[in-house]
Amino acid sequence: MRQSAEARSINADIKAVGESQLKNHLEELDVILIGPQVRYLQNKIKAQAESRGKVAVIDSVAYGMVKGDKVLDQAIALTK
Amino acid sequence: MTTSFSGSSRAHRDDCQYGEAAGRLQETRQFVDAIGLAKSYQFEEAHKKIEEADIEFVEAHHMQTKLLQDEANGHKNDVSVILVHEQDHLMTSMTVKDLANEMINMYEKIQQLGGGEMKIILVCSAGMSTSLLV
Repeated sequence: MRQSAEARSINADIKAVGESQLKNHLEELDVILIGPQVRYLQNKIKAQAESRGKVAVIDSVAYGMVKGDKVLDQAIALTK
Repeated sequence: MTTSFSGSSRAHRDDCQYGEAAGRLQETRQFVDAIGLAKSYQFEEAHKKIEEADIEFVEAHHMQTKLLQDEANGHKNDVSVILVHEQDHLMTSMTVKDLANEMINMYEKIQQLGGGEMKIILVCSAGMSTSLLV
């Protein structure tokens, strides 16, 4: 995702955290993407973080193929 | 008759003018490149690029001024298609330069407004395999 953002001249701060750590990272966010394997947490995370940014589950095909550019597309679409 | 181009034969002078047109094309590209740099928030490089392109550009502008002054003083230049072409490139370059400066300022504003950085967080399971996507 970082490579793809750089190639497209998008200034993006992208990081990954474990679910239990999310509460420590709830500063200003634009997008919160959830790994498909923890999609059952979506409602909980929405309740916790929806005021901070858009919450969605990562597209499982893009996830499975490790397509960072596709996930970045998903994140950008969510901010529009 | 005076011209600002060196060389006695018309062919040589046309060669010079053709070279001038190519030079302007080059500067137009540099101005566009400067916009590209500003787009990725490399403002220092963007301003530097404009300054660099400007050095030759100012010279070309002087050349045009001289042609105009010569004609105003009654020394008529014969106008070739290549001279017209050169003048066309000069004007294009001038427009692109002005717009490039405006756009660089706009990108600077955009960055200040925080429209620049997008913050994304990926929530992983305990295995952290999602972090491979970063």
